[in-house]
Amino acid sequence: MTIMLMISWLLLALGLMFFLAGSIGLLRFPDSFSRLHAVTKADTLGLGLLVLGLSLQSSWREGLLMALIWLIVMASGAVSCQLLARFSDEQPSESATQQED
Amino acid sequence: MTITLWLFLRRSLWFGLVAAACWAVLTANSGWGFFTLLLPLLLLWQWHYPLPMPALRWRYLPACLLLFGRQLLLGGFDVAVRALGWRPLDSSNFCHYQSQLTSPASRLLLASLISLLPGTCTISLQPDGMLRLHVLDQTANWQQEIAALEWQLARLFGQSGSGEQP
Amino acid sequence: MSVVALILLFSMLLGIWRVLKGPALLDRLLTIQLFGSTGVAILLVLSKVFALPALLDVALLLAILAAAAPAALVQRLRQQKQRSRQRTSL
Repeated sequence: MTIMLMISWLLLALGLMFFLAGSIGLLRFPDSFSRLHAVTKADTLGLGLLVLGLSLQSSWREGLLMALIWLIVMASGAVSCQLLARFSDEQPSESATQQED
Repeated sequence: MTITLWLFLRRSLWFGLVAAACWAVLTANSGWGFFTLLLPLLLLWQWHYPLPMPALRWRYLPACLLLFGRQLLLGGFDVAVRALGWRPLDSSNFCHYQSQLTSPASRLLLASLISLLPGTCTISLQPDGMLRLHVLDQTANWQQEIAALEWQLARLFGQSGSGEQP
Repeated sequence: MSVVALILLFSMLLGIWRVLKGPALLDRLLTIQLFGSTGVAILLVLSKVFALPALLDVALLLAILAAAAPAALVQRLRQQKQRSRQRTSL
């Protein structure tokens, strides 16, 4: 049982690291579209690891519900990333930091 | 008639199982009396207005999910490493990728999944299947990673014959 | 476990700096997404801390709302832009 708990805490710590990395990326990356990468990917993965870690400490039903929540967040992240990117791509005057090839 | 009935029954079984799982999860395993009342109504509705589901070849789903899961992990790791400054970020740019998928549903799915692959993010999807992307590292072979996922999706959606596995 | 929630809160608050600084509208909109996913994570952890399973339902609701928010916002901003363009062309 203690091994399960240890794995769970390891996953929680990893998830936290990804969340922090996502926020740091949002602050540090030089242009808007790179920041989009940071938020979408790091947070999705962080939440996944967190859910995995938490579900090791809870019942199967809570685990399933958390997995469902993760799926919703992942889907919404992927879709709204695209929406925001397309929207900001349409207005070149306001997004001054973007570079065109 | 018998074939339609058989198909409907097989579909109902899956529908019922998924509905029961959702009910168990969302209601904290209670109120099954309501569920037994609700399920026939839902099935009746299904009989008259079947949900438009793309014909998937389910046996290919695990391989697809496995690839996607691995890429999701790599993608998160890659972006985290870059955020912490252990890998430089100096060759990000806009790129194009021509998708070979034919059905609109699979193209849309590919466009959404690309945002979670390492180093790529979809900006827009044109009607002819041309994807406008933002790539974190131009020097990486992101084309090959997208093509691998695309191949899996083509197989899942039953559009195989588009070539060898990349 | 509550330390986990605090660290998550901290990483969420880091996003506010980006809202204030900008510079593009996309940067500010991105924080919505950050708040959505991190908020869900905080609620999941808190439901463990306080042993309140109801918070999982709150998290589910927040996840659904966070999915709808960027779509609604982009739609609204687009309409605004179209309207202002019509006004200038008149």
